Amino acid sequence: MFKENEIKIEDEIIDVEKPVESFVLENKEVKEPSIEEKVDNALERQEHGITQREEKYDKKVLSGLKKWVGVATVMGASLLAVGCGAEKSSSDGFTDNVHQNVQQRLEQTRDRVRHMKEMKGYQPSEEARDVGREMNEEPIVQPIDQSEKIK
Amino acid sequence: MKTMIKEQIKQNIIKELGIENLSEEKAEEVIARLEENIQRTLVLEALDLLKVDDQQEFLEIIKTKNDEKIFSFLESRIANFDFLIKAVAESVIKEFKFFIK
Repeated sequence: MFKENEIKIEDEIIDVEKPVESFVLENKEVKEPSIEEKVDNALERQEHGITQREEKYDKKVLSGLKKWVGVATVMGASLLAVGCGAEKSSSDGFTDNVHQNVQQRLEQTRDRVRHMKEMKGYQPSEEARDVGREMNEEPIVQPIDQSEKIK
Repeated sequence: MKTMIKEQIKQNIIKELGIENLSEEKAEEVIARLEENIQRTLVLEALDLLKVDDQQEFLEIIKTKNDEKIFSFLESRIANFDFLIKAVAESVIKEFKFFIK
């Protein structure tokens, strides 16, 4: 246990007969990390955890899903806004609400694929061909700029 | 208009993350890294929802390069993707805040 000249303070054994100077030297001031350091450490810990989880999976599956997630979600800034509860929406059709955006993007991609598929097998009707032919054959009449003519 | 909204959202995010005292450059770096972490975690969570058999099937579907097939397959396996996004985004930020304490 303790020697005669020792006392116990919060699980730390301190020699009370030791000169004060040596005590100060031994217990150097612990520098509080700056906010930059704290942030960097936090992000590094988080990234390390994610990398470890990624190692368990097939790289091809991971990259395939990354592509899908990239299409299905909007820019990361909006994801972060969702996480922080900071999203806002405006009246001009633009929305930072990720839930709406996911649905919109999925719908747009589906439409695009559907349209491409339809256009692949597209055959113009006889009527459409005639119109196309006429457009190609008829000379294009440019409107005359009257102000230029007067000069 | 969009720029103003985006700037406002960015300021809200910075405040919510408690990084107002960082320089603008550093705050932007933090935002970018957190965005990346959310996306990567989202992929992993989506992957966890795919069974081993599904993952094999998914690999085969990727090979076809048919976007419609890929989407249909994933949508059928990962229901409520929008809720998953919210949950993942919140948890990544919560973890970040816990780490910087």
